[in-house]
Amino acid sequence: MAELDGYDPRRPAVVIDNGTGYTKMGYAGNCEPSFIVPTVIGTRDGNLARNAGKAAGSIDDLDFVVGDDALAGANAYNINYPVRHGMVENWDNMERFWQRSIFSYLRCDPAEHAFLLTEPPMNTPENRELTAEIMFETFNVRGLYIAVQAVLALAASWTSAQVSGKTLTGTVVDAGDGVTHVIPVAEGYVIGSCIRSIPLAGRDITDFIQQLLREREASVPPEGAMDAAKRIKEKYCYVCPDIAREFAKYEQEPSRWLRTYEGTHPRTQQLWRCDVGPERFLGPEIFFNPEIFSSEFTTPLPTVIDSTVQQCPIDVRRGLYGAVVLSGGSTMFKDFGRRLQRDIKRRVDERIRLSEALSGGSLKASTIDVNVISHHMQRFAVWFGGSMLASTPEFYKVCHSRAQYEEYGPAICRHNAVFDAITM
Amino acid sequence: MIHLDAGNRIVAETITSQLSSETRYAVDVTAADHNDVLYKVASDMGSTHLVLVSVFVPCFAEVIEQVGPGYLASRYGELLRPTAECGFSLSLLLDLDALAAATEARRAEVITLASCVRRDIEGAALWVCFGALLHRTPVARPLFVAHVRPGEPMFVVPAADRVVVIFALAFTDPTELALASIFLQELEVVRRTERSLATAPLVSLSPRPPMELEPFAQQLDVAAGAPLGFLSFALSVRHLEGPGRLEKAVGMVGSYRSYVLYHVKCTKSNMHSRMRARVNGWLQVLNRAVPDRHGVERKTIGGRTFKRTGTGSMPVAVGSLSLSDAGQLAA
Repeated sequence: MAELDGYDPRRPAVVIDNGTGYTKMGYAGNCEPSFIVPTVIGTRDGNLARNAGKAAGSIDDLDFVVGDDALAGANAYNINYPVRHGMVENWDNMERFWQRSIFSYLRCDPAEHAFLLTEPPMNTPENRELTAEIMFETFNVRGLYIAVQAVLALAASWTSAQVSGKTLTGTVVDAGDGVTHVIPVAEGYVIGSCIRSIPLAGRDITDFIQQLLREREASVPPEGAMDAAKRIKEKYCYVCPDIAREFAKYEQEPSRWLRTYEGTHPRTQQLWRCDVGPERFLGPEIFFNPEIFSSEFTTPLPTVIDSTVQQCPIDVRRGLYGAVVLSGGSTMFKDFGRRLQRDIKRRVDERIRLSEALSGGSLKASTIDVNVISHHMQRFAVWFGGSMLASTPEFYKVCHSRAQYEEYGPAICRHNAVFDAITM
Repeated sequence: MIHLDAGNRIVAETITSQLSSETRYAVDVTAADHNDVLYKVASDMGSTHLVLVSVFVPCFAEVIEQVGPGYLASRYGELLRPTAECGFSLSLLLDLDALAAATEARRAEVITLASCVRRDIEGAALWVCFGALLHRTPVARPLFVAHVRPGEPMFVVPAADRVVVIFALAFTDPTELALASIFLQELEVVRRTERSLATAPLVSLSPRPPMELEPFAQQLDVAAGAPLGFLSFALSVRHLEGPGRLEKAVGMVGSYRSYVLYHVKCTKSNMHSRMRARVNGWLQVLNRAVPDRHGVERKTIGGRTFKRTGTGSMPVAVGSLSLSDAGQLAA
């Protein structure tokens, strides 16, 4: 891999993490992304290409808004989410989203900066090539690196006090807005065949809370119900150790546990309020008892994590249990990590006990450590991991440069730097 | 959005959030801006109420030598720290407690000053010359040069009744060069022909250095020309009179190079969209196409059939012809 020749190390690399719900962007070396905007674009007409050049002097192709502005102007623009399930679906809109991100939000000349973008695990090579094509052809970026989100999340966990060494082995539990992934990573390699995804994530928690509120509280206006549920989720929800006991606590001392949510009606601007009760712990509970929400998917998250690790090669399983790393906004609930660790540990201990019993007492297994790692950067773990890696000098060595792109074409992005260890 | 904002959003938002949050915590934010400008917003010496905004502008020394150090003092006043942080061009020290106590207008002014350092340093000559033109005072120098980007200087030539701003433009990428030159030619033509733009500043694009630079030809190395040419704007008093118009003029003229680049990228995105749409259309045609089935008898709507007698020859009608068909044939 050629380095970026003559790159001024003072010039920070640009790190953009395009998620299904939100895009996190900023410059490498910072602790937090500078902008967290919804990955939304609003256009006048759904088809930008057809519109282009319709009338002389028309600037329809420039008339679009992104992020919060798009949501605010939803009645004047057609809203489109260019990223679905972590993968880019609408490349026209994505290109425009990036264009606005770079010039209006981050304000830099892309030809001068190196870029780090992220991709979901199991992203297709074609998608990666398309990304590289846009980045090099349209924006002429100086250098480009496309990192797997799970690996960045693992790197971000190095900041946690619970982590002693810097390894890239662990199980990443990435719960975002659209979908939850359990991704085993061994020494920086994503074990692709063992990735499991769960169709429950942040949006489902919101839906569930909304459903509960609708059944109980009549004061919630239907127009603002979704937004209210989302705010309640972000502000009041937590994970409880045991539902039955938690319900009993609410019965005994309602004044201590109930909260009041106040909102304004989106159209009439009138104030309304509702009580927030068991929603507080029932929302996140769908990860641990999915049957309360969904009839299609009923395997609890700890079971999924355990079975994922059991599928992996036997020599990495201890490492995978030793670092279960949380990432994404939907893992931010209080005590989420603690409950997860307890439930996984229970299953693991049960299995060990069973195998010891089956061997008739002749085998004695050493205990397996289960560590669920929480840290402060959990919400933007992926972005933070990217920011950390892109501020090291090694980043510029593994970056794909423009010269390489011009020589070999977008196929260079099929190559990932972690494979260098094998080929050399 | 056609224009780019004058201020740096990251800097403005960092300071605003520091001002509005109840508990102050230490900040350390690095951000870049157009033309390789670097910003750093950090708490000073570990105290959370003092924020140091340090900026690195590549053409800083050149610009300050021409407009004089008094420019910085008059613009930033007591915000300016006497010595800049190591590795940066200048540092502004903001006292958050004092700012929180100040008026709303002063807060907005300070945030604008801190986030627009790039505009104000690169466009220092514009501030000086436009101000002089507006107040009809003489300017100390006949020419100001600022190398805002390597190899692409901006010249400011003040005159009695106008200020001419000249950009030497270059693009390294051949596609971008072509797009930018079409964009600028169009700009020049539209400025001449469109009636609604009759009061806009005069624009001209020329491959050779324009007349205004002729007296300085010896001291300037512009004889070789710029790959894209020289773009000049001539602004007169009427473009600067009125509340806020001076500031707007400095912002828009000063960031013209970034503006052109931004629109070149927009054009490219647009072309790529159309290319994608075209490819999708062709793919649709290809997917719908089915290979010809050979050896199957096909009939026209009139019941006639055709037999292919060989490649490249006309199909021959066989079978029964109806009366009307026969009549047509006879005619």
